Amino acid sequence: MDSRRARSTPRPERATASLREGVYDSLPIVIGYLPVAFAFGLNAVKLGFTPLESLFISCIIYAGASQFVITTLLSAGISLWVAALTVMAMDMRHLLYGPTLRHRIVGKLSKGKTALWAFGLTDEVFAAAIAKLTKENRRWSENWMIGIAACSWISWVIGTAVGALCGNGALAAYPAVEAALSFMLPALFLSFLLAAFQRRQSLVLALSLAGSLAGLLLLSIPMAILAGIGGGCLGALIRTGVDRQAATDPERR
Amino acid sequence: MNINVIMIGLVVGAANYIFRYFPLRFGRASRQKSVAGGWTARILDGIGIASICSLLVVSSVPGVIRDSEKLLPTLVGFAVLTICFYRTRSIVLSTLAGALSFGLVYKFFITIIFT
Repeated sequence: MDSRRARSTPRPERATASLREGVYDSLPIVIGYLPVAFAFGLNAVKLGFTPLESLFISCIIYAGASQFVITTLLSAGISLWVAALTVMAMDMRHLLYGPTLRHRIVGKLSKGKTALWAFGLTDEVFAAAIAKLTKENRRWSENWMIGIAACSWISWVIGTAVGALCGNGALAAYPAVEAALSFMLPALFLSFLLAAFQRRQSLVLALSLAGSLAGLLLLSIPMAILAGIGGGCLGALIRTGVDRQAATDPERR
Repeated sequence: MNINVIMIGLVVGAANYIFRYFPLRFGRASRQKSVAGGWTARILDGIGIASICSLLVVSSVPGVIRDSEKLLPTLVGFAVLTICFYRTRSIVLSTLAGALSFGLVYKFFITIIFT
């Protein structure tokens, strides 16, 4: 009886998410980033870069796949500007992240804080922000973003340094741990997807899945991401058209 | 440090920052009334979920294609994660539970294959 009454009373609105919550929520990203950054550091040194150079790339570029591509292209003797343009084309998808977040953020953004957390707006941090904004829109805060972005960046840099300095073999004796760490990023994206998904977005999800799978099998990984986003946009357009038609069709109404 | 590395780091780093910061800085703020209806609002809503879905595909499928023995651990990992998420609603716990299940099933598989 009491519990039923407690359930029926409106819950007080919780305060906005703090920096500390951001640090806690960054935990799966941190655990996911460490092995990937470790692999980058290791790979860069193998390709002939010094540990300092690989650390510099991780600190300043801070974009997983792009860093692997840059080191591979440069070590293969490809011209500097071709390598730069290739990687910039890969990272163009980040242009979509800002408007998507801004569309969901209620209220004004602080210039200084936004400039800070925008640096750390990677794919994983973006997915975490979308999940937070979908679940608890009013609780999203820039301090929470700074917490999650800063911890993710620090773990990326530490992972690179350890990979570049220690070399391979640290986890060779523990294949289960190595495998579990390699699964952190897919697991993380599925968690974010479950947190952000709403039933009305089923068509968007289905077309995005079809687009990214087709892009992956027929083209390349960067193109698969763009194809998935394109499929999702198409789904959103179809859904909007159907909804509008239903709203104007007197028989359906 | 090689000058080429410094140059490419600065150019690509600056471009990445511009891609991440400027659309946020100059993007249109949320207008609650438009969220449900407009074309732009629906597309922006769709981009969020579509990006996460695409990133899930590109982070999981290539590994399974390359190494088919990862298929079962991947499916088990995703199943445990989904159940854990709907029970706890915690991203942190469900991600860790999913990764742990993947590691254990993978280890079990390796033991069977190599013994």
